[in-house]
Amino acid sequence: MTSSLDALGSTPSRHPAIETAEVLDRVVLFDDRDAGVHELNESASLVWLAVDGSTSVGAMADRLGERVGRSVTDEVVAAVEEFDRLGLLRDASPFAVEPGPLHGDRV
Amino acid sequence: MLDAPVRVGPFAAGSVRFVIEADEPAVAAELDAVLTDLRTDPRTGPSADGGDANVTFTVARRDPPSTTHPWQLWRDLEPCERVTEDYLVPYVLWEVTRLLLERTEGVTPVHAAAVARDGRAIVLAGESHAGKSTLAGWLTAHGWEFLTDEVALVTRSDERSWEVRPFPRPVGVRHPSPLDPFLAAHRSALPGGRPGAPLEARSESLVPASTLGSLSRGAPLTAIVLPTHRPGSDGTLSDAHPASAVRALAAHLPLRREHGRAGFREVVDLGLSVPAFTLEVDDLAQADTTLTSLLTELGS
Repeated sequence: MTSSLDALGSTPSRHPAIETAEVLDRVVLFDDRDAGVHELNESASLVWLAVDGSTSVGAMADRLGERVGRSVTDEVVAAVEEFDRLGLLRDASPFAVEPGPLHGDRV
Repeated sequence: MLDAPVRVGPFAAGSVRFVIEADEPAVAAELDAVLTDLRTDPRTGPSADGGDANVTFTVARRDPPSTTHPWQLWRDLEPCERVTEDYLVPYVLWEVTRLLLERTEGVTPVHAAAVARDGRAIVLAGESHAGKSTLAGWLTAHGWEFLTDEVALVTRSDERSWEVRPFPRPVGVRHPSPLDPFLAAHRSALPGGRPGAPLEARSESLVPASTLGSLSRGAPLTAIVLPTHRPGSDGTLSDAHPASAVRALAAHLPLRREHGRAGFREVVDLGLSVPAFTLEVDDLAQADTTLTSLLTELGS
């Protein structure tokens, strides 16, 4: 189980099988593996577009929170967890947590 | 393969010509009647005897006989499925649709019904059993022109414009249906319909759309409509987000695995360039009025 703390430090990246289409203010995703299609609502679309493999979930939440003028950390974490559950991210849950000097066995 | 087959056709499934050979005249006649709207002009296509047709389907009783699955279908001598008595005609239709989908260069086939009026087409896309066929059949019986009830062949006419080509498969009608009154008037002309045979005795009919009204030869695509059956609805039409139209079309794209990302991208372009609407359907006459008004508004 990934804690919110782990999630905030993780840097999720999109699975290479996922094709992203921006349709006005929403995103529609096509999964090349099973031809599945996902339509994201406006807020989930913003989170998906921020998933770039180099930005941490915490940084995404900070950036999107600045845009809307309030904390959106819980929503961003929930969205990324949902992406992970749907198999839209590279490396399944826990999503792409880079082992650091204070992480796990490498302490 | 058959001693003295009865050959019917040629027919066209998109750009593909085919004929059907059957070892029983009654079966050949049944298939000829069901597929009548797909019949193509032998003077402009392959020869009337089917010698130049691209594909030959052969239908025959199995030897030795089978009590459960008595029929066998071949496509160019390659065996297909063995089927039951009741499923023979629907299965041939399924194979014809498959033939169409195998050869769709330059066309995006979408799982949708389509009709046209005053030279403009609308695509009716939605889940299976959402009532697309019934709505398309009703509209055809009320002055619209029929394009398809199952596979809309959408193709670009330019960067931002699309048109729908016809694939006038017979309409699948589950009885009892709002279309029954129109079919009853043509009962004796329906495939398999014996004079006086009650429609209620059948669970489903495959009805040539020309029985209900006129066929379209293709028309520019004006709108994508996403119908949902909602009892008691007054026929509310609402703007649909283009992303919802893309999802509805892409999720049911017949060749989505084969066409992959390229097919998905075509549907995205389609969704971004053609206005989309949701339509709550209960009263089919009301839906007809609403869609006719929609075409008027979009044309002004």
